[in-house]
Amino acid sequence: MTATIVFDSSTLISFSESCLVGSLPFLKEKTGARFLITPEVRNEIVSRPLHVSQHAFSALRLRKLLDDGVLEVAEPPEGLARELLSIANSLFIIRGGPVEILQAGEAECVALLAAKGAGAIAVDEKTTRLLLEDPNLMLDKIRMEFRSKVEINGERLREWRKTAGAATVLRSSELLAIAAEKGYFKDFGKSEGEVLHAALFSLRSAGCSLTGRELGEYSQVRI
Amino acid sequence: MDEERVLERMAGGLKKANVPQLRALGSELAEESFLTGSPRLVELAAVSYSLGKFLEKHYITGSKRWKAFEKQSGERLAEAAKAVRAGREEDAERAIDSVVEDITEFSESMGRFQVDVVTKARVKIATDAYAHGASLGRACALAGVNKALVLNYIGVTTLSDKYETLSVRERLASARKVFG
Repeated sequence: MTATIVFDSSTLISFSESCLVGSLPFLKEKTGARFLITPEVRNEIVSRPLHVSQHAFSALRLRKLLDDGVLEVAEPPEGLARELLSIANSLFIIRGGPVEILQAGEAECVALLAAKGAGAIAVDEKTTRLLLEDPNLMLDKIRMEFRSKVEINGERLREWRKTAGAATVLRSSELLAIAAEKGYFKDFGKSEGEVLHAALFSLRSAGCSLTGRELGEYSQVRI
Repeated sequence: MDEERVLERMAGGLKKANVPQLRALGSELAEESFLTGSPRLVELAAVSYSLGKFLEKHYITGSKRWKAFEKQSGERLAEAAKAVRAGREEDAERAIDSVVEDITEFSESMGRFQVDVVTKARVKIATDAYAHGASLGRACALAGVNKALVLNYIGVTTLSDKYETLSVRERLASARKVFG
């Protein structure tokens, strides 16, 4: 069965800022996977930054992925995106009131993931990832930051889990590692492993939520 | 948050060249803006961070233009505080917007960087919100700043080290399964 992966803008930006955008068409060609983005993600990675000189090149690189069919735009069910946004933004109660933690674009990605029964979501930013993988860890971290009363709304958490469904979360790091396993860096010969590790460091510097410890673990990965 | 008091603290921090005070105030405002979603608190945080940034640079505070800029900013902050006290919201908004415009203009004319100091302050505010729990999208929408700028800033911090869940081995196993 063809893999379908929904991409958040954070992952695409990490790839573009690290000059690793080429790994996506490579991965698509090798695996036949479908890479989906929502209209809002397209706005974030192309439409808006295209008019800002500093970010125009990145926008053009990502636009090429759309033009070449590497990325496909898919509309998430509007009602579902709104519902997920509402649930996420009433999950955490800080100083007596709910706090908005998620934005419409991210909620749309999760909605598309759920609606399409997609294999995974590719997201480099940490909040969407934690909401899908471990909302209680999110709660612990928020409590540490605020050093005041922070609660999680249990009912809303159940609704979130039911509505968002179970999801495999990938980051640009995992996608790049898979591309490397399939030969993306083979032109570097014996240095393939070294190149992968250096590229992962670049992804981290570009904002991929990759820890120092994980970089160490990745250095043990043999291609 | 008592905005009048905030503006007075800011004006005081500027007058006394108290960088830690301005930075701490910027951080408090950033946290509060995340909790409340208040655009005004974001602007005030940006002003506080920016003024602190200027005060760190000797080439700026030693310049011929600094005294005039400092005086004008102080006056505008006092004007904003007075407007808040009198309940004149629009006047307060106008005064704060003027300070932001002045800072941006001053930064562009004096600075040695492509990104002006207000944008840098917004990146800092977004990063603060991100560290406090906001998603990247939420943080950037709140602070009014581009995602790539914030991601690049986060990337050179150890912020991500706090959010580890699965091991790399588990993640790669899942990824291989997805691709079949």
